[in-house]
Amino acid sequence: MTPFDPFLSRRGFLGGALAVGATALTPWFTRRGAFAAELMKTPSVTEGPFYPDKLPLDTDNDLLIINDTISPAVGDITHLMGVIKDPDGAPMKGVTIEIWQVDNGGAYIHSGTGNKTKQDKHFQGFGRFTTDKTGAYYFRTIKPVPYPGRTPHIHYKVKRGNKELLCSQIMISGHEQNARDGVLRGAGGLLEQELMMAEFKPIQESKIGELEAKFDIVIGKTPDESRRR
Amino acid sequence: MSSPLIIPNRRLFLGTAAAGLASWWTVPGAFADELVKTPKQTEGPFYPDKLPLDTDNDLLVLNDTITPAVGDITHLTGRILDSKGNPVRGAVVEIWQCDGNGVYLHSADSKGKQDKQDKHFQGFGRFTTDKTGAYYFRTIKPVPYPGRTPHIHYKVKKGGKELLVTQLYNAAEKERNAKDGPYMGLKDEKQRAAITAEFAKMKGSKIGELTASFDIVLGVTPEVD
Repeated sequence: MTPFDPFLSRRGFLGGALAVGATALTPWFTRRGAFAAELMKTPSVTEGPFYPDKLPLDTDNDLLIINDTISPAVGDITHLMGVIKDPDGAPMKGVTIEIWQVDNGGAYIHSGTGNKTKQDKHFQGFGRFTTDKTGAYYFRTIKPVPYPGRTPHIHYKVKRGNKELLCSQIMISGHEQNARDGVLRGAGGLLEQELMMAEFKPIQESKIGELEAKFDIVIGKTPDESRRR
Repeated sequence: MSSPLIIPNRRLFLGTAAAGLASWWTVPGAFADELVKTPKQTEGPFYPDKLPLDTDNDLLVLNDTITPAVGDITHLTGRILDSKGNPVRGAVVEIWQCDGNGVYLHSADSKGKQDKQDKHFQGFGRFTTDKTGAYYFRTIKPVPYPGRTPHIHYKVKKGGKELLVTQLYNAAEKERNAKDGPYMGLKDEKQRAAITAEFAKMKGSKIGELTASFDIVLGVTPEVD
């Protein structure tokens, strides 16, 4: 068994490394797609019951401010960003990523959510972003918090038009509750789990303790049609 | 020229070139002085009086609907820069424009035009910039509206403060632009050029999509507190 180093293999280049070893002197890197073909696709997991049942009035990429209000949401400000790629590693243009998550008190934008009485009226709870040719996305949101039964996570969905390409979740790398989380463990082995985690790192220059989380998404070759609503 | 600063474009005067052999780029602020600050334009009467249910950066598709808006699909990109040319992070860019039939998302305009209104056009979008200062919208190429040349309204805010209200014009609409009040209200050609973009055919697009790039240099209208 090859030793597994989750840090080196983030986003799944392990396969690529093995291929190099196996083919020894073959200049694999000169063959188009030889490396790219090894990109691991981001695992899909359950959508969960709390995709907003009524979309908020504001669906932009800043979840901290709702429309023209002044008070921001409560929580650790997080700049969440990444690139959405196809299996060959090419950026995907014109795909829409949606995220949704609980507020700092553990409430979703959903009529059936728990913690409803504590709901942060200033948290948008949902956001949407359509990519340009760089495939990059960006949201300003809060660091996810745990709620009963789940490790902290951010839900996301990637669509092209109305076709759902991926539905999954982002977890906090190194969070103590990850090991007990059913959804994360259900995603597969350590490698699959690693592909669902982002590090939430403090931004050095920030005087107000903002965080940055980078999370690239690799869309699989076969979109899961069964998830279409 | 391999300037480490910013790709030269029409926002820059040729003044820099005129500086000849002087190492203008080593002089702090020398470059910044050459940036044309984006001029302001009137907000007009049709900033949405009731914001749409969907405020994201794709104006062609409303929430989960399937039918897209009618119009020439345009990929509108650019950067928000401060007066020194640095990208502005956390700037909120809002755009609004009439639909392909000339109807705004405003009750005072849409009243009586319900039959004409494109129910699939979002009419308004919002984008918060990251540290690159870049923004992106998918929208339609603006169409003429009675009494106006085609334009897209812009508002830039940061932290609840309004930094700039302006409008973007289509370079190809020379005749209409030349007769347009707000546009010709800017007497300096360079000022007009700073709010005019080419809506160019996108290479490789089989459905005739367009691209337009519009950088905004802040600094003209700091909010009066």
